[in-house]
Amino acid sequence: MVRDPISVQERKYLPQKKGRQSWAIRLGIALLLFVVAAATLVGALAWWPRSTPAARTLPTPAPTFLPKVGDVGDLDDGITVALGTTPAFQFQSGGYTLSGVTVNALTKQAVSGVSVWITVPPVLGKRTAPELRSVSTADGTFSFSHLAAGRYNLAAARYYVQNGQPVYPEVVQAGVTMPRQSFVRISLVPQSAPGARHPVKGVARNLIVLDLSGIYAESWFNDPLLQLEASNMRALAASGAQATQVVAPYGWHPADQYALLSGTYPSWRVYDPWPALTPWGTPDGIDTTFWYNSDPLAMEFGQQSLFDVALDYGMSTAALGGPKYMLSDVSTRGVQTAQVGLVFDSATWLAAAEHLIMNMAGNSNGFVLFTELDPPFGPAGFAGAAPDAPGGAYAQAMQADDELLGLLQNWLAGQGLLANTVIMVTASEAQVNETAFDDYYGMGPAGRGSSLHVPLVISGLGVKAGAINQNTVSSFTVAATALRALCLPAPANARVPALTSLFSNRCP
Amino acid sequence: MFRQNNNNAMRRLPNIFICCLVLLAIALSACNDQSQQVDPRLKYFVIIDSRVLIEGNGAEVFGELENTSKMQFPFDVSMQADLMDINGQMVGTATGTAEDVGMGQVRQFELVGTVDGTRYARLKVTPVSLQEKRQELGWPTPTPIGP
Repeated sequence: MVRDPISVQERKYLPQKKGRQSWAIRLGIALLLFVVAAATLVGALAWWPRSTPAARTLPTPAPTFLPKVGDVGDLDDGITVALGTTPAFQFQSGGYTLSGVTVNALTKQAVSGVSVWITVPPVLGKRTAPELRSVSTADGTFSFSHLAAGRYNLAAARYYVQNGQPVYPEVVQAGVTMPRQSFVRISLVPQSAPGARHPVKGVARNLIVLDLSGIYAESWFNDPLLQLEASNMRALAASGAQATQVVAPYGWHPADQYALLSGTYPSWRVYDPWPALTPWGTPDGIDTTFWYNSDPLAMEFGQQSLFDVALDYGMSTAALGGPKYMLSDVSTRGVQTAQVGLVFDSATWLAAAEHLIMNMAGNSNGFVLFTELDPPFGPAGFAGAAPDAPGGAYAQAMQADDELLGLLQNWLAGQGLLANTVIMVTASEAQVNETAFDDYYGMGPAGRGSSLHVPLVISGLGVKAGAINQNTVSSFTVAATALRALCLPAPANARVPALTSLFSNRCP
Repeated sequence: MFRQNNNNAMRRLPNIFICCLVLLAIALSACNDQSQQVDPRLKYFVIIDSRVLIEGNGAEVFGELENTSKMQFPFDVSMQADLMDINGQMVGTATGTAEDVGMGQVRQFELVGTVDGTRYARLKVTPVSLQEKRQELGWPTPTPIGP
């Protein structure tokens, strides 16, 4: 092995300690460099701009108009027939501002959360104007801006229940003149909530409302080809009471469901035939006489629902809904537990319903459960979606509804709840499944279309077995009739009274 | 001699460092304890109404909160909803804030979270912390809210 003599000599004369220090310094520098390099690398990785995937333009399918919901030109077709949210008496800028405050008529204290609406007084033979709406703030104030000069009617109400607080029924202040009056004080008379029910012999404690939208009333009760698919429903009707000519007001699920729960027209619509009243079903592209002037999901309408009434009396409330459940003020504000968006599956639905009922069964004031069953029908126009297609999607959906009705009754009986629970079966309308089979059974009651003919069957304690009401009546009656089963008052704005002929008991 | 002292100082350095760490841990622990103390003003914020909307595993808790205090400035009130099963076991939570809740005012709130909807039975909403909305930093103090 050959060595470099010079280097060997140098090494020999270096002190050993100094050599160790030098080695340590080199190691330190190496470590430092390593740390700096690692930090630089990490920093670079952190700051390095991420490569973005190349943007690709996906082909957008051309919008195709598909008439559905039994109507043409309704709000949820994507072709809105809503009127502008700016009513005829409001400018986009300028004009006058009307301010005000909502107060408790007894204490003179400000009341917050009050729905306030303003409109021009109706004039016979002239088009109506949609209302302009507001909700009073925490200090009770509200205002409407850019108003035209003229006379107005103002109304206000707060029906939703807060713990221990009263409700404020609707008050109207007519003839407010702009610009002479720029400030109004609306006094609302408080109405104490009873907070509890007093048990009455022969009156049910609980109420379950099943909304079976999508199935024709004729399919449930009259179609001989669908007897097997409707066995539980027909048995319920036989053992309970039935109204055979109930008609939904709209033919559009959100509005019809709102009508079921409140007993009235939703405030977010306005009745205004344009350009002329068109008979139902006439294929002129527009066959609705109802136009929409507000967002249905806004929580500003102040209308009382059957849930609000039940809460007033200390009852528990719950709702179980599918993807089409209407998330409006009447369907959510008075509902303590709302479970929605449920993709239909018999076992899941039944388990969820049982769970909600068990959670509420301990309340001595009882409970109200509203639930819609929403089995799939297949795509619009699908052959199996026709009501009479043997074994088709419609018949299967109907059978699923019917089986669940039977299973729920059996389960309630097993839990000892059936004896003090009234079951009501109804629907918002038959075209909620959006099939192409509009008015499948002809024009139905009063020529309004069989899509709008809905079932109304009620069974349980206090119901007159075998009673049948054959009068043509709006489904506005559902809310009042449901609450009558519990001997509770109808919602404040209900337009049609309860069908009292369906009951054998008397309310105090 | 000098080198000896320097070596001693070097030997003490780790001890000093450990002592500093211990002191820091104690200080942080104390701060943590302080933050866990319940704000006594929370008792003035009363939940007057609450309800839950369940969609899948998502939970939205809506309700109203009242400030019953005589404190003259509004607060942002952070809240937590405990969603429980029939036995009181937690099956979900939701959190959120009610903003600008002044003296005597009622404010709506919306809390968002997750829940096992198949087990949910009860709801308990609690204010958990307050943030006073008093502007400082040279700006004029806002006018107190009247009763």
